[in-house]
Amino acid sequence: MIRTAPFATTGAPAARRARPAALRSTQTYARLRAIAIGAIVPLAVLAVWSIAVQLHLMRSQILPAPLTVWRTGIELLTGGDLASALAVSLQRVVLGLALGGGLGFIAGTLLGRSQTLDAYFGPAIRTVCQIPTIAWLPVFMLVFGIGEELKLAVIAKATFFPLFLNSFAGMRTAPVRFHEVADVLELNAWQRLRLVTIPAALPLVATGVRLALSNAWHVLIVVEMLASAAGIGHMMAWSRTLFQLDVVFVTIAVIGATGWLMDAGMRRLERLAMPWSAS
Amino acid sequence: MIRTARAPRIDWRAYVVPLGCVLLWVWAASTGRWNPHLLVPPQQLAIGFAQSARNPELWLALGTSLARLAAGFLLGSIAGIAVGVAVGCSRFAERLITPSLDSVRQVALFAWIPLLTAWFGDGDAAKVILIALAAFFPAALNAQSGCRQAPAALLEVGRVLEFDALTRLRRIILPSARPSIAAGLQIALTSAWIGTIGAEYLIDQGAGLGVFLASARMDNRMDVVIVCIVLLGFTGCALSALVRWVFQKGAPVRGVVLVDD
Repeated sequence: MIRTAPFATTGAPAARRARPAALRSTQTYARLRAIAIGAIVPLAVLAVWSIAVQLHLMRSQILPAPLTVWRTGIELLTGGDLASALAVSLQRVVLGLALGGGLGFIAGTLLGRSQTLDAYFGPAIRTVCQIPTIAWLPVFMLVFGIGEELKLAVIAKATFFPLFLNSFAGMRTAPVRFHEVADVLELNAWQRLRLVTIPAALPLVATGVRLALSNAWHVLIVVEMLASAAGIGHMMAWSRTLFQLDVVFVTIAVIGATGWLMDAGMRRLERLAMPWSAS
Repeated sequence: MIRTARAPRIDWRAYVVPLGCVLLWVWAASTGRWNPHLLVPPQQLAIGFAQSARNPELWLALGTSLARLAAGFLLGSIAGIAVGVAVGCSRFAERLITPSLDSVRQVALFAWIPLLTAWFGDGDAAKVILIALAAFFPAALNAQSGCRQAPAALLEVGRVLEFDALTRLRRIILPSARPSIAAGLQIALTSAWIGTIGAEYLIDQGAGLGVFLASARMDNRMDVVIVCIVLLGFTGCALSALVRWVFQKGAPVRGVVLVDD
């Protein structure tokens, strides 16, 4: 899968906070209006969905009523089924990220520091990583079977490259002028690392983690649908087999929400921990 | 670190590691200590390639996948460009559609498969829709950002000349959005190709390279699996080269490019 940066929305500049109250109320109005316009499409879909159910346009097995989906969602959320499936999936993501992302970070940092290492290992690593994770899946299934090792390996593969690329770029990104200032100030190696290299590299590494998380989440769903006895992807595939489409709807929503939460959480963390970061 | 530009020179150091890996592979296979089903010996891989090249089923599978890709890509990219241009040109369309699209985009692509197969069956319809979905978002996002990049000066000229909306779109906005749209199509095609293989592999019904791959895995034929992966890799590269070639006359390809899996 290929993902792109989010749709640009009309973001409010921070400077607006300073404006007088009268203006602010028109802004509240504008915001409410934007929300109302944005809600038209989902409400229309909901209306068509309800009408289709009322008129029995599709079998209820295939198109459950909105209310049924809602009730099932509440039931799964409060019953703990969803929480335990999600916990299994998230644990896999974290372990895989620690392994693959950790290796990617180490490799990226080393190759970013050393031109020689990069000349030897860089091209090979970049070529291998061009092959999408989905294509590796059959090979991994033959080598690792369908147990927990498979999930770990697939997520490690999916998280390695974003961290490799971004830590690599992070090491080479500090502007030359910063290093010149460091020369003038006669910083020692440790001070240079702490004051120049790490602050310059950290935002990129954080971006790498964010991309890696999103990659990991996407491929994990595929692996869990194919070969798993637990996790949110398995829950979805299994309810599809049993024709419990209401559960499928709920899991799709949960998969989307979890992916979004991880992304938004990382962005938030980036802003809080690295106020100097541009992104 | 500014490096001076010089003529690209082949760096022999890039070949040391791959060569080492190949030697290691040959040596490891020759000791016979590892399972030859997993660690395929070089001669067997060569036989696998030769056999596969003569296997009409493989080429038929590739053809089926490409046809499916074409259908899904056309559907998804045309819809994507249309939506992207609408959202890029009209504030109202943006406010109307963007929140919904952003929500749908959060769901991992292949997570739609259970729903699509329940609605449209295991046949071509579900796969083509998934491929279209894979192509839709890159095409839409890049078309949108391209339309936004129309230079203000040109738009002003259009206002002075009292262009109607259609003329403005045709003469000003689309030409300046062209590089972005081209970049979007290139990403959309790669994305759709991955979607094709993934859909075939996951749904595992009918024909196609993904189905062929899945059955090779079931048969424990690592050599055939490797052949398939090489084939799909080359096809992917060839497809993006094709799009680049088609749009060569346009400005250099720029766009929102964040490739992942």
